[in-house]
Amino acid sequence: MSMGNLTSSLRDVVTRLGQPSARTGAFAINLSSRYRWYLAPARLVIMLLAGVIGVAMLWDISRAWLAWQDVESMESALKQVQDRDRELLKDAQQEGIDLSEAALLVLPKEIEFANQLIEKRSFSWTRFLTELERAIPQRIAVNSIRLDPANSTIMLTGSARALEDVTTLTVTFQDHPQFKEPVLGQHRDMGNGLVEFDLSIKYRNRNP
Amino acid sequence: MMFPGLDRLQHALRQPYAPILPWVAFVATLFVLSYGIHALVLGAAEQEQVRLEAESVKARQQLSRHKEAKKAKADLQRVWAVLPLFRDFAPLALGVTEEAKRDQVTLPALSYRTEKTAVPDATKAILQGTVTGRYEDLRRFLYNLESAEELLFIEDLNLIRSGNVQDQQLTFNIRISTYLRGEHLQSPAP
Repeated sequence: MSMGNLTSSLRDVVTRLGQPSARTGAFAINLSSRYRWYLAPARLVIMLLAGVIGVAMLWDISRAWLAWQDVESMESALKQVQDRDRELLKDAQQEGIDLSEAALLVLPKEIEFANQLIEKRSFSWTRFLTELERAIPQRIAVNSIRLDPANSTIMLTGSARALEDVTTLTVTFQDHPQFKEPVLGQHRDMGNGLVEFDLSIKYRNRNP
Repeated sequence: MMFPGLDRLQHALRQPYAPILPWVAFVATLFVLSYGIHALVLGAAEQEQVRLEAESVKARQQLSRHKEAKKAKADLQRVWAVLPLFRDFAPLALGVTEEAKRDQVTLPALSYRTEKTAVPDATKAILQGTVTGRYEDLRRFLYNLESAEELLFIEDLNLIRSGNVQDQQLTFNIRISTYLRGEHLQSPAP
């Protein structure tokens, strides 16, 4: 089949589709007809397009309706949260608590400061001395103690009868649950039968 | 011609494709309407959703922040309550000296100074001196300071054995600190 025949057949089919009356007037030739073969399919396409746009409009309208409903519920939820916030501020004011923006700006510093106080309070010199008394053997005399609470390091100077006693003291601190990392700084034989020593140890602060 | 557009329309209506022109107009109207609905009605709703979502998140965060702040402030009030007021500093220093006397510890001199802190209405007060006494008495003195109603901290304690071993006198260099609150630091409401 040639291309011309194919085009002619197609045009015939389209003509029949577009103008049903043509089926009855096979030999009628209307020379004044304004009919064009492409009008029917064009109209069909336009109608389909209108349908698609209509469906899209309905889809958009339904989505918009749902969205506005969602907006209404969100507004209601937001109002509830804002009301609760206002109520909380009112209660705080009645309790004498300042929750203004200026007060809230200072709050982190105040919390940090309070935490420092609590941490400082957790260290007890009395408890520390008790534990030190228990740890130091009788053959050792302590001359001075200095504690740096910031890093819980104790600088201890003392006297012992012999160097072995200093070693025993170091080992005792090594095995002690409250003291750790004993470091012998130096020792000096004083010539009077006593050995002086410097020792640093770490103290594990334990809350009661 | 009065209306050149009308003339053009009449000309178009005489064309063979004239029958589909109303459909084209209808589709164009539908398209404009659809675009209007999409852009104005749905777009506005979606914008409003986004705005409310952001506002809602902000409001919830604010509420949560206020709740936490209220709780923290209430806790802080309890801490501030144990700090002496600034005007009570002098009596406090006197109290430390009297405590030393009660514990039979010698506290011949005490120097005072104050320092600013990170919190605007709180001041650090430092009392520094040398205490001498028997070990037991010194320990009792330290214990009484640590367990005092006012928040007192022994910041530094340097123990120096005294020269006289027979009378068991020990000397400490001691630094006691406390934090004084001004009138603006809130204490719990009665």
